[in-house]
Amino acid sequence: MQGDKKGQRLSTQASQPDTNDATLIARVRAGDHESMAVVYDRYSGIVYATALRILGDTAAAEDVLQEIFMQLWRNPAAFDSSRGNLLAWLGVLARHRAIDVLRKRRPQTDFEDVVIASSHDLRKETEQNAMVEKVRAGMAEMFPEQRRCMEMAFFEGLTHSEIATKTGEPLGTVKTRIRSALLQLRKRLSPGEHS
Amino acid sequence: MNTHDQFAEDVLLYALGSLDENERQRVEAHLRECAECRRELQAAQEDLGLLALSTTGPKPPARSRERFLSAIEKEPRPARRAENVGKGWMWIPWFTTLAFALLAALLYFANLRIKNDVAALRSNSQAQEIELRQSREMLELLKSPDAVRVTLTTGKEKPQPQGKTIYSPEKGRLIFMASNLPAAPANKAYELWLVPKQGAPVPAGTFWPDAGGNATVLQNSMPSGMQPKAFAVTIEKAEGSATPTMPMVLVGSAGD
Repeated sequence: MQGDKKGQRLSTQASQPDTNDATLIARVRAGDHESMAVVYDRYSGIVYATALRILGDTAAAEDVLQEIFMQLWRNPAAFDSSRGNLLAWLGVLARHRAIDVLRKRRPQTDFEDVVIASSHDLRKETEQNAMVEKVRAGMAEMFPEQRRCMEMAFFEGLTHSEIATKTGEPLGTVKTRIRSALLQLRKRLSPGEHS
Repeated sequence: MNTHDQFAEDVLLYALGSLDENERQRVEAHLRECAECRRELQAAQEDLGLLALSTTGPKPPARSRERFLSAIEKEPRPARRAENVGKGWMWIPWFTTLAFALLAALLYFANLRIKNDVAALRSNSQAQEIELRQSREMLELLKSPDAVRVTLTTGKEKPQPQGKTIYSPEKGRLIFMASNLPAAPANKAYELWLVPKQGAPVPAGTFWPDAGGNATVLQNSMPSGMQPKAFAVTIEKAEGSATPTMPMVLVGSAGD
């Protein structure tokens, strides 16, 4: 019986690889397990990689992965498919939750409070792969100090005060570096910008 | 540098969760009031979400997928919360719309009830007005100097002084009508008495008959609940007396 279900899931995923996120989420909201599995297969990699990068522990990263997708299954309406792309939304949640685990604190972010802009069309895998390349290129182009500040803030979850203490830089400098790094990345990722 | 420029760095740090508690509260207060900074926050959230794409590493193990699929197989289908919960402040328009709809319905029914109440009050008021007008007309008739009062007797019998009393113990109201009374002596007045079953007589008002010998007394403030044994009329000093002075001009038993 279990094997049958599993086989059914796999065949269903194969039948809807091009279904867009909005449709999948709508089906998840209706209780469709197969669509939830497709969402998982599409985005579990980025959620896990983000959590693993932050936590450095596979078991902890797996727990974050499980928690993020269970939350989506329980409350798919928390994601507004008309106003954001699912990949970025899950990326933000994975980062926030992993930082919470790293800091051994209760979840600080409510799923429903994370509302993101939708400047990029990432419904297709090819578009997502292109975006991954752009982001990595954008990170590589940052000044080392910028990249370091950004990584400490994003992957280590340090406050700007902690970053200032750690780097010996003034608070204002840290703030400016983080912001300029992100603006530079935003410009790099803008739809009209070519690699 | 405008307000948004001042907040721009803090909004980004807020998105990163990198602000201290006081700074976080300050930015949240500003975000509640500033749509432009909310849009900036959403843009920053997207940037950060895409920043996650820079990570490289192994794919999640197959056991994680099985663990997840197994969990959702066991978990009851979640209730649809989208329409009820919304996203953060996005529930406000729905709630506001619902609140206004409820308020409109309440106002409609309140208005309807008030209209009904007003109609009932108006109808009741009109009935009371008619009743009051009829009472006044009867009272004016009783008190009218030109009202013709005729005492009917048996044939050639000379009309004798007489009086009629209508009294309600419960309401403490009294009407007394007299006829054929001679004029009261100078500086004197007739005085009506209620003689209760127990206790001393209670004065019920002084009066002077008109030229035809007729008089009417209306009393609205008699002690209530007083059971009368008789009514009597005496001649008293003009300002009235506390106790009746004999003889009685008229007397009638309440049982008559």
